[in-house]
Amino acid sequence: MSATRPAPESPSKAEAGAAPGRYETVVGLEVHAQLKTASKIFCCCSTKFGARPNTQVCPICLGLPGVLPILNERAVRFAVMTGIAVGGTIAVRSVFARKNYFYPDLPKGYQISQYDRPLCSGGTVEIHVGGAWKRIGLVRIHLEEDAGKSLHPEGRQGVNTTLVDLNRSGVPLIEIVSEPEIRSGAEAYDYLIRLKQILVYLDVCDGNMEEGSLRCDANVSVRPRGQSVFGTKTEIKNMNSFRNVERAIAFETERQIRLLESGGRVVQETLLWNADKGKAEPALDRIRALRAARASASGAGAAHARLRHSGIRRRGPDRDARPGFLL
Amino acid sequence: MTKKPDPLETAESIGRAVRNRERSAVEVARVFVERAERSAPRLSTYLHRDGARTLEMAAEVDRRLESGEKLSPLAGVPIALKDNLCTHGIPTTCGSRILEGYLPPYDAHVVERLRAAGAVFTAKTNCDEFAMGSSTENSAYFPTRNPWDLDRVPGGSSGGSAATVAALEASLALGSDTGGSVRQPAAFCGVFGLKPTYGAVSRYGLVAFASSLDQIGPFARTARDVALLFNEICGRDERDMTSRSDATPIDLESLERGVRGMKIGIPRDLLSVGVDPEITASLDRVTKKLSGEGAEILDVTLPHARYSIATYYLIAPAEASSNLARYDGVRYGFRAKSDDLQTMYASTRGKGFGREVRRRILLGTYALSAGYYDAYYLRAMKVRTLVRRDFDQALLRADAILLPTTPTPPFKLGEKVDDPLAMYLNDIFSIPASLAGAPALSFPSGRTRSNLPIGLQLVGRPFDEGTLLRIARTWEKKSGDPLGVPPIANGGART
Repeated sequence: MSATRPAPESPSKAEAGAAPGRYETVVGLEVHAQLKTASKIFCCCSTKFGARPNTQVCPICLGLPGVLPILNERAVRFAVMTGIAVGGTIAVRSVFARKNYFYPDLPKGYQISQYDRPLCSGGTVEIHVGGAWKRIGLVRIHLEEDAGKSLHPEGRQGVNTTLVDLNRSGVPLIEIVSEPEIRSGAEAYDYLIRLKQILVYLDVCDGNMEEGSLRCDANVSVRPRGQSVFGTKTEIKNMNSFRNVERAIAFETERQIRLLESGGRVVQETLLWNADKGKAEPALDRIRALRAARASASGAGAAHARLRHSGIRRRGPDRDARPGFLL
Repeated sequence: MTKKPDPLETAESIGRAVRNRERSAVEVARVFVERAERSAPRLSTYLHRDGARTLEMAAEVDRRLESGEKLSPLAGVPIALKDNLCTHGIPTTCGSRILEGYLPPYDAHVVERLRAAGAVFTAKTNCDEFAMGSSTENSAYFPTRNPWDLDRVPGGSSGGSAATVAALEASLALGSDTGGSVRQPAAFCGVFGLKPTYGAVSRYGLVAFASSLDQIGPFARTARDVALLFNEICGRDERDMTSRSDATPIDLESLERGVRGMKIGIPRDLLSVGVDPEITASLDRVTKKLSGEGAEILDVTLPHARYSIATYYLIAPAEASSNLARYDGVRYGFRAKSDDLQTMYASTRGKGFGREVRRRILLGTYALSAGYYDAYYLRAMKVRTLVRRDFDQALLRADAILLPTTPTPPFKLGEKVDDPLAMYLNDIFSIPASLAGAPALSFPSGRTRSNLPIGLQLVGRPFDEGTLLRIARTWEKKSGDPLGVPPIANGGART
């Protein structure tokens, strides 16, 4: 099935054909932003980047038997500020849930996240591409905790070693999920620039993609222009700059079009962006299998955040003061 | 430093004597340590015990009193802790192989409170693995025996804590109650056991089984002693977001005010499921006595309580399947040798957990899995709300509800291990209050003709533990039926 293999050629070659014009790219972005709180989301440990491995940990973020989470009020406030800035609806009562999967850098065997009752729903980010403004809708913004980091140093004498650093375990994140309304890599790039602008302006995230305080996964599909049904999507991870998000989307768009044009079908899968090779490659089976998470909205042990309307209005920034309007 | 301490004395009088320097904490501790050395090997009440450490803790209490420090009523009182309460530097295994050798780097909230109070720890007591069971036979190490009949179970999961108090190896003990794990062993061993209102006691440092049901509760030999221990551990703790400041200490003297004018409800509909005639007779005796003391006895209904076991066995395993995910062999505890990660996970958990724990993890994982969540977990949560409303309704009319703690007296070791359903059914009377989050107290109401303890249960309004203890205290005073001491604690040779 050589015809279905991803093309090794550069994007410009693929664009030479007439096919791309007949297709529309559909992209939805999931952005994880680390919140600039001094302490973690459920304990008092520092969130400072770059400390010696496993020095910013305690029984709570290590997930030792018997510990319980205590919600960081500032993390909630930062998430609410972001929600208001994008014009979303803040839920007065939002609920945390557990996402269960086994992985060595996930000490409790589940991630505390939000499932069916996120902190914020809706909202938009305005982008400026090709001389026109366009509104990209948001599905939701929810709060969750970050996992630790697995490091794979060169094995000694052929031994595969994985080291786990749990300094990052429990760092507060907001996940910002866009509607599938982005139509190109360039639009994705501008969306990220403007979203980062909002986060940095609000001073809730430092926006540093290299240190991982802003991370982005892209869901990409293509469909013939005029068709309302979505095509089969793939998820691309491991993009460490806005430019790489743009490149990865362009690459994946063309791969999918080429595949369809040659009579093949897109398989729903997770791809890892390889910036050096300039291509997205299938994730290792092992990682895919382990990350196939089972979401369970167990109310147990999960905190419920209750907010007062008046509190949101008083503390939240003025919606008109967001950077998009100032520019 | 005069008379020899009598372990039959209440925790209240031991504490008073120690604080008044009438006797040293070390003297008291020595009596209990020696007693434990005699009886514990036959009862198998504990998983970890260090007599020298107990005496050292007692010596520290004496030093603190010597230096003029004001200590709580529990100063110098020997207390046993269930092995699912984290103790800094003292093994905490939850009765499981998967935590063999695990030393927590921190104290549970209740342990911290008791240390500050000057309590003296006697042992970490045996329990069903991760508190899952009703007989302590699911301990990965060994079963505990009932002090009243060594061929019978002490109940569970806090069987070691109940037995150690009944056998006078400790003056008080802490256990944990998820579906009856304090009340049922209290009934089986003939002592008092309280499951406080959900939120009355911080769960920080209690190894989680089912987080929305778990509560830490005291075992004692008198109603006043239950209050004494409850008072030391209750209230808001910043580290447990579900703990509440509504839980305030109980005034011990209020327990002496009797039951005149109180309304006590009997849930006749629930009792129709079948109760041992001797337990029914005991219930009638207590009802009559309380009525004679001026209480008004009325019928209440708990129409949804009969669905409690089915509901509980969806909710508790669902929560457990998630809570126990952290025991994966990566960071602490038992790890099975293997070449790759997946096999390591599978065989660590396959070998490290016992049958009952594996059974519940599977049940829970199934109930939470995509496509079944709404049909099982969500539905169970709805029934749970109905059960809670039943109690709310009943407790509008009654100040407390009186019912048996268990449908039968203690059963024999091995009798139900191969029949999980029969084992689960033993919790029919304790689970409803757990689902409702209501406070519930098991108190000794008498003994069967074959000299086995019988316990009855009082369930009350949220944060009204005081009323339950007041009723039990009234019965305790008027019954003319002393608590009794099992033969083994009298140095009796019966085996």
